[in-house]
Amino acid sequence: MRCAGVATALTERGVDVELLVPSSRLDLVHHLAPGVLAAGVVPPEGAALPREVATGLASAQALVVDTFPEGVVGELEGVTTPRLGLLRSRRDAGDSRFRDGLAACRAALDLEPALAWLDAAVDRLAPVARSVATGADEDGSVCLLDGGDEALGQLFDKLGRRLHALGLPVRRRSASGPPLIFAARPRVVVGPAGYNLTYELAAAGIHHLAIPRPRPFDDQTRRARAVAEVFPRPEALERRIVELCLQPEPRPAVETATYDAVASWLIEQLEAT
Amino acid sequence: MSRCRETAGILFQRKCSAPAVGACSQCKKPICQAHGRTYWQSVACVTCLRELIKKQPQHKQSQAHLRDDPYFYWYYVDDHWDDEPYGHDDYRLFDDDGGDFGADDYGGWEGT
Repeated sequence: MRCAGVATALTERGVDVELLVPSSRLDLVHHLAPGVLAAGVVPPEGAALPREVATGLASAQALVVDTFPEGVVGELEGVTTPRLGLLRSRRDAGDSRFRDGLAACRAALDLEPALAWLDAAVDRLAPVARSVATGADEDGSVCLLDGGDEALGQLFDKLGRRLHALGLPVRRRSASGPPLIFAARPRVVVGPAGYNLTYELAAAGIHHLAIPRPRPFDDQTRRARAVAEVFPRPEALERRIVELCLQPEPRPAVETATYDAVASWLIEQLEAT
Repeated sequence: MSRCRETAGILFQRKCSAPAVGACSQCKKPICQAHGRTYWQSVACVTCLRELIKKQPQHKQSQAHLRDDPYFYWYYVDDHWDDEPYGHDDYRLFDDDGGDFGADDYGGWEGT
C-alpha cells in the first residue's frame, strides 16, 4: 500500500520506478498504482535474492526499501545499489540484523517518529496516509473491520449482533488487501492497528477503536496505544462504541503526511547521489 | 446561584458544574437544564427517573418517550440483550501480551 502510493507519486514527478512486490500482491498493486511498472517476485527461500531481481538492481540508480532495510530474510546482503530506507515501527529495531541493514542505507526516513521506536540518526516525517473517507457526510455507523482475521471475525459476529440489537447501524468489512475507501464516513471503526488502517483513519478523523493483532515485526500494541484507543475487555469496547454513537465527539487531530512528501524526500536523496 | 448536584452521565457518573435551573420534584436536589426531565406536571432528575423506571416497570410505559434519550438508553434495552456473553477466545483478543506480541508468528514476506 505505502510503496504503491509512493511509487505513484514518484512516477507522476517523472521518476522511472519499478515496484517489486510479492507475487500474491501484484493484483492489488495494479489496482492501487495502475500507472506504475510493477513486478511480482516470488519470496526468496533462505537469503538468496531472485536472480532477475539482482540483475535489475545492478542497473538501478537507487533501491528504496520499505520497513526492512536488511531485506525480510537478509536477501539484500551484498547488494551494492545505493539504498534508501522508508521505516516504520519495528519491534526488533535493536537487533543487529536491522541495525546492519540501516547502516547500509545511504539515508532513511522514519515514518512513525511519534512512537519513538528508533534510536538512530535518520530523517523524520509524519506517518503517510491516503484519504479514505470520500463521502461528504458521516452516516453515524459503526464499521467492524476484521481484515480477514478469523478470531476478530468471530468476535465481531457477536459484537455486531449486540450493537444491532441496540439499534445501532453496524457495517461489516471482512476482506483483506483491497483499499479501504468509505462511500460515507463511519463514525467509528473497530479493527486491528496496522500502519495503513491506523493512520488513514487518523487522517480522516474517524474514531479508531483498536484491537491490536500479533505480527512478527510490527508492534500494533504500541501504535494502537499511541494513536488509537485500546480496551482491556470486549465490554469496555462495547461501552465506548455506544458512547460515541449516542454522544458524538470529534476525534483529536493526528498529524499525517502525503505520499508526495515522501516522494519529495526521495527525490532530494536521489539528487544528492 | 447554586450548582447542579446531579452526577448521572450517559455511561459514567461525573460531577456537573452547570448552574441549577430548578429542583427535582422527587429528591429536591438542584438540577441544571441538561439533567432535568419533564415528569408529569413537574421536573425530575435523571437519577430519580432511572430509579422509577427500574423499580416500577409501569413507568417504563408511561415514560416511553425516554427511550430515545441517551441518558435512558440502557433502561430500555431488551432484557435478553445480555444473554450472550463473550467467550474465552474473545477475551484473549484483549490480552496484552507485552512487547513480544506476535514475535513468534513468523510469516516471511507475507507476514509483515
